[in-house]
Amino acid sequence: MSKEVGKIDLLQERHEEIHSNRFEETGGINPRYSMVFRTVSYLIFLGGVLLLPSLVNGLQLRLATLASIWFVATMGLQVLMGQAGLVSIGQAAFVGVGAYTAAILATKHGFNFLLTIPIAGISGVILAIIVGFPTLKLRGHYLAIASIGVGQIILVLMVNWRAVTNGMDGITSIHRPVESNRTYFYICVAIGLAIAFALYSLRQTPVGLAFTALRTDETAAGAMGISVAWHYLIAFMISGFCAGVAGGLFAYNEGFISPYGFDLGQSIVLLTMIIIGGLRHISGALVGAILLVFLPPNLEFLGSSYMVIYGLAVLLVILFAPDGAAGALLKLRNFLLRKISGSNRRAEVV
Amino acid sequence: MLTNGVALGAVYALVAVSFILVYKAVGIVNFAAGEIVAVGGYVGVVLANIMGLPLIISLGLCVIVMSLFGYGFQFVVYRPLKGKSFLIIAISTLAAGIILANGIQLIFGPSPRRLDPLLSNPTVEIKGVFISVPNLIIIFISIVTLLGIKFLFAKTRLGFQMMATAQDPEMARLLGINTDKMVSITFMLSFAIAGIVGFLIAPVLYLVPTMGLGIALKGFAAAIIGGFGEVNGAIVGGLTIGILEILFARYISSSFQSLLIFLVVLGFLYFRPEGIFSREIGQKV
Repeated sequence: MSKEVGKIDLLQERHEEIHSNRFEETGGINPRYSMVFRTVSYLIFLGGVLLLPSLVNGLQLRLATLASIWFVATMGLQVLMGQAGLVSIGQAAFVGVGAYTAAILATKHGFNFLLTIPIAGISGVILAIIVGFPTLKLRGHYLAIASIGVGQIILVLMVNWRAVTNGMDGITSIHRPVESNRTYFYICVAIGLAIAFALYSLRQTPVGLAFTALRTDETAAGAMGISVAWHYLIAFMISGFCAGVAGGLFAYNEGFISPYGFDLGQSIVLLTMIIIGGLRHISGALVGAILLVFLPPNLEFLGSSYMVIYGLAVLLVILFAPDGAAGALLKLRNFLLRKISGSNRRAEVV
Repeated sequence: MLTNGVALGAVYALVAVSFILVYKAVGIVNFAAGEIVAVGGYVGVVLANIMGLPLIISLGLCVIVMSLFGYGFQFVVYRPLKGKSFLIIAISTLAAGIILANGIQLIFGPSPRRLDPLLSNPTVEIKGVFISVPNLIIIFISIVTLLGIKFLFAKTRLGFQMMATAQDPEMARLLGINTDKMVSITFMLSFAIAGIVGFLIAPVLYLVPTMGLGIALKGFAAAIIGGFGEVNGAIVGGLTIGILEILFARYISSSFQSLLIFLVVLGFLYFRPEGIFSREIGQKV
């Protein structure tokens, strides 16, 4: 009995302790600082994006454009894997379908850029529905292997269905809507940020919350009345849409597409982006895309060993920082803000 | 032609068995399975071609080297990640695959390598049918290996202990089984089998650093058709894939052959995820 009372006392004390700490709900961070920090970092990011084309050379601008394109594709994976908890090792195939859709519409039917990009996204959604019905009842390794299989099927179609895809020769002379690299970069970034904003807002909607519920405990979520199959299909469709849009942007950016860019290797690269960037955060897609686009060309001094380093980097991130680069950055931010809030609080008490 | 299919199927069955062992023991799918086969093949090249050892001795050494490799592999890719989500472990094995494939490329270069054929006369005539000897050897060694595995799990104490560890590690530990050791042995066995596969295909197919992917995919396909986690199923699945592959290539289209294989696999996943031998699979809550 006395033991119980002691426990309750302890709880009471803990309770008071918690409530005496003003910043406990925000993890010890003064919300005002957090707000200021967020605004400042957004401004720095936007300023950086706007100024980037003037600061860097042509090659680097090309890489930046590519990074923003892969950012779009990787965001899809973030929703699928990071939020809904499904695995896909076939994302590049969806990117490829988007790219071919945009390329064929643009070169053979003279469609406008403003039309082809949404249609490329929709082609990704349609593929997601086609693929989703047979595969989404699978989980874990079955789904992972099925996604590889789907990727291979689409790759074989790209290579061998010459009438539509022109085989290994690919589709050439896809002309951009704008001449300047700088404008195209802005277009890609704008589309990327628009999708990021939409996905960010989605997280607080019933659909986004359902994804989290499904990821943490599918059976419990199902028992709570969340339609498991329907929400998985939505996650898959969102992922397909992002991949399709990215594919369309990619086709215009390169001006030439062939099956080579959409193989399993590319799927693994996309997967790596979100892992290294941080699976739990939409910003992880951005960080991962930037890292994996800019690092390989800068690692060329390593010669052909850079792919080994690349694999090692993935392994090390998985082993030691499973939350990825974005997770590490967030931790650093919280640490700094807590420092600032903490010192400030002491000052107030004195 | 049929022996081609059977030989190919036997190889796929061995690949499937190689990673099913690991899957059953520790519940992870080794996406580096194909690259490990490639490593086995290259180890064979080093032993037999570069060091000039006789083939039988090379095969033995290859198995030993690969077992040690498997022993080391688990400390990098599996042990530190114990208890982490499926996704994390799957990606760590994918990363290991990338490292292995490119490591091979660094050491041996991208050009194809090949083991010298076992015999100078590559075909024998049996009742008017020409059968290639390397294929026969592949089939023979595969059968021996598979029988060995079946014997291990059906008759020996070690096999029982391994199965117990795979089924319920907690309970196995309570019963006094050294489960860590069993997991190590499983990894070693799996890699030894992969080494045998690599060695077997080295004289027939050319070895290239990126060969792992294709082999792994066919191995996965075999495992799925056979019902994930069944050694018998893997054999049937492997043979099915091998024979289908040859038939598709011959009678339908060689360029759409892998598409058809994957459609078959997807069909299996959809209609019979429990594999060709039906058995109810329940989901643990």
